[in-house]
Amino acid sequence: MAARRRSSSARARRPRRRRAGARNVLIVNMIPKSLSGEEHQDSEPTIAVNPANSRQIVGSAFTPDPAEGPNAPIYVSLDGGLTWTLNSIVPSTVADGSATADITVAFGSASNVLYAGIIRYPFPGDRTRLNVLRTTDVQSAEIMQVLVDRIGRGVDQPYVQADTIRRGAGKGKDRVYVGSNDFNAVAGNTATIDRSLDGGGARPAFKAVRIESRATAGQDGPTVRPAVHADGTVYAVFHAWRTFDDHTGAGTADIVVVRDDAAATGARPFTSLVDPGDGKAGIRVVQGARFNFNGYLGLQRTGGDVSIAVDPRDSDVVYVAYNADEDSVYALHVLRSTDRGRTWSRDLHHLRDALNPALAINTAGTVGLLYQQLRGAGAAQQWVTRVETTTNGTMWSALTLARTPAQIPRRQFDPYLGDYDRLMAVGKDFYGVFSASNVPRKANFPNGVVYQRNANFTTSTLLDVDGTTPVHPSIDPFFFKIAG
Amino acid sequence: MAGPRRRSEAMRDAAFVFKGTVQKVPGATMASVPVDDTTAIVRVDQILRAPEALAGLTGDVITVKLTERARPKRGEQAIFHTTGWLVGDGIAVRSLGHTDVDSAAASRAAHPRDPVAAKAARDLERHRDDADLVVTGRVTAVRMPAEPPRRAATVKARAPISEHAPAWREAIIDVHDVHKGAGSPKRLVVRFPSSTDVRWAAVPKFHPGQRGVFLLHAVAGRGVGKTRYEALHRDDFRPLDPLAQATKASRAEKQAR
Repeated sequence: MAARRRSSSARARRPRRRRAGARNVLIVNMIPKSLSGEEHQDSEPTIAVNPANSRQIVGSAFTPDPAEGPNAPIYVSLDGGLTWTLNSIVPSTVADGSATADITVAFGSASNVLYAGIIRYPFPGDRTRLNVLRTTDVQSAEIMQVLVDRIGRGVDQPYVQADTIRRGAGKGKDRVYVGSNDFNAVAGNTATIDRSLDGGGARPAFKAVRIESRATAGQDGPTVRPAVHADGTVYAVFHAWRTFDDHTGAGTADIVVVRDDAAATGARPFTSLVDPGDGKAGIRVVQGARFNFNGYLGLQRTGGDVSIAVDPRDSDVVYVAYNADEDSVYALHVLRSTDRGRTWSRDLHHLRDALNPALAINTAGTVGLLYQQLRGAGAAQQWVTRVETTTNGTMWSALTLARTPAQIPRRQFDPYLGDYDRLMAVGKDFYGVFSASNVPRKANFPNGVVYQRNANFTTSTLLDVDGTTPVHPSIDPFFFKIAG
Repeated sequence: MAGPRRRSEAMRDAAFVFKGTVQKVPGATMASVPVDDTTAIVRVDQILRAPEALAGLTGDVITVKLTERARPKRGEQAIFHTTGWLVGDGIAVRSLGHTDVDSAAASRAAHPRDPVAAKAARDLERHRDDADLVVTGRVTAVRMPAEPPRRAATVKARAPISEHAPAWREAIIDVHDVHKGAGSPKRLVVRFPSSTDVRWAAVPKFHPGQRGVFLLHAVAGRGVGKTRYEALHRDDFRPLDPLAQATKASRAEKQAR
């Protein structure tokens, strides 16, 4: 059995990799045609595919309401991602345009209900405002309903997942899990899962569960990611800060995985995994991973990414990806557990200067890993966005989605690409989203791309709504689907 | 259903105001819009106030979600006060109310030649009205806050560390003129976020030597009678000329009423 703990500096054998064969890949620039003139930095994208109707897909990014109204937009597709419309139904507004400071979205697996976890504008000073929202009609003009509204000392990076109970007691109810870094937690144990056992109910109750069981460096990191299995198993991975220097932003973190075997319905949720090293809840998959909260890779800020995915066929099997500073490299690692998180493999995959890992596993057991890797230097530097898949954890098949300029456009704000992107699986298909430079050049998208907005691929020029006026490049969200 | 007063206030807040002619009810210009009695196809005849993204719609037909009880009928021309809804292969907006084309409200709104500039001037005027203190001045220095966050000796003492942290700084401003607000301060301390995070990037970043108009909002002071000010809005600092232009435009509009 592989070692449970590993040093963050350990190197793995280079995994075998082959190029993907011809695959059915769809890549779509999500900016609608009627917004052809926009030049905003539409970074930090997410998507949610409705498992009950996979033609219905919702996305999000730091896209402000084009009409400058009081609500932020979500992206909606009703045709499987071919075309997209912005629907401004998220209650969040600020002087710079109605958007959010963070947003993730998820559908109940069989309820057709969309949930969103957002940092809502405005918020006072540095005390960020958590909202958990829902709608039963993503195309409606009705503003999303607020289920949770919390400020206190602030909350960071809400990350929502949901699952509909398929049988037995509670059939049809949505269990909703929102990971966040909640500064309202006492003693610095800030990694939190807000969970509701009936998110679709008339007045859903949410309970904030603190999943950090150890002393922290005053707080945990922003990334707290739940992963839900239909059998009631719920995992979460988080970036557990152990040291932190206020002046340099440098610190060390444990990569901790917690688990609950009863959908977090019990009296002590997320304590099913106990680390034999200290007897506390949560397995320290990695200890002492270095990070710098003030760090950058290219124009994208860094600070410690994590992702988690559970095999829909077998909840014993779970994969984790995380980043660590290793010398001058921002290294991405992928590990696996086959015994419900008790023990973990060595590196199954190791990538240099790659970030925004997003894991998903389809119903065939194929694991997908989305990431964005900085390659080259100077004017030729590129962000290479790829999905790699594996069926056994050792042989990885790579598919390049985009090779886009890393210095064009200039940065408007942080984050440049986003502090996360998203990959998910519905059936055997993988769906995902990433943000990248929108320069319309065929070579940038070796597996093809569809633009809704006006673009001339011969002259590599974006064009305004009139079809003639040039538009400056910017960061756009790109949806993709890889048919299984 | 909103009452008359709330509807009137909502109409004043409308970002997209246009003169339009109803083409079809019920109807929609976008396939994704569920058509019912509240959705209408409206031709945009003249734009009176608009955000940049909607400023080029003159002559186009769009979908309007009618929320008012008394809805305009096919062939009727009206001033539509709207906010955004859908942006895709077409445009759909939510009506906050409509007025007759020959109403006083219509004549007030009909003056601006540039609908985007009209909206910007309206927004700036409102922002100026909301400000507690409006001064002309010059930034003489920028410093760390007088009481920086304590180091992590105690967990409760330290401000949360988040990518959205504002990274506060203080600008010292020598005041030349006071345009609005009580007193005649010679020097001000204004707190502002130096962070480049998405939350704060558009907020003015002060540096020594900057001159202009500061539209400031008071926050609770630490000492008795000492008011502190923050700059948290993209329009909290303006070069002199655009503000003067906005004031001029505002006066002209008021005179027209």
